Amino acid sequence: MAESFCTVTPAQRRHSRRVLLAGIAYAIILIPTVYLIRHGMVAGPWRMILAVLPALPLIGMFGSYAKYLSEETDEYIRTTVINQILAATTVAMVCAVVWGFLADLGGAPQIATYWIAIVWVAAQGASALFAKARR
Amino acid sequence: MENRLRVLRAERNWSQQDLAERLEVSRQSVNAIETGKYDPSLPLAFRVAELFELPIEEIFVSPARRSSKAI
Repeated sequence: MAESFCTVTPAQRRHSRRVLLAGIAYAIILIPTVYLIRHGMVAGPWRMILAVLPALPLIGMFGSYAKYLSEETDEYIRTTVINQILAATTVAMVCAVVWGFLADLGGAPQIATYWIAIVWVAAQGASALFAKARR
Repeated sequence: MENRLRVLRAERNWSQQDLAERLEVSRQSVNAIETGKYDPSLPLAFRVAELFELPIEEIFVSPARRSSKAI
């Protein structure tokens, strides 16, 4: 019987479902939020509250990583994911520090700090692909 | 860490998937241990030893002993 190249653990399945739901919630929340704020339809404290709303699903997504690591019973897979998280954190922190100094002292434009999270997610994905290719 | 997992598995005519199911781990875990890419934790090493009904040191080669033999 042919063996599958890569099995998905139950914890990984639950994590993927949570991340997918967070992604859908993010897309649903982001579009009306941006519209309302860009068109000046909310002001004062309501604007602040509305501005934070798109962050909530992303916070949930990061929380899902913590839950996944506590749920994963396969020690090799858990170690592999921890290594991917360490690699992604290193890449994101290096980018944050380098860009911070470039913006402060080098005349580069200031960018929103949520880009650090985007870099982290991209680096984690790249690291996972690299690990899969090495197996 | 070197080990005799592949040999012991072959003696029983088990696939990596068969062994993974018996140990309640993924097939990738079995493959990583067999190829020496991953050293199992002590609880998992004990599970392997109990499954094959052998002492741990007859399955996993101590790196210290291996290097002393090389000398």
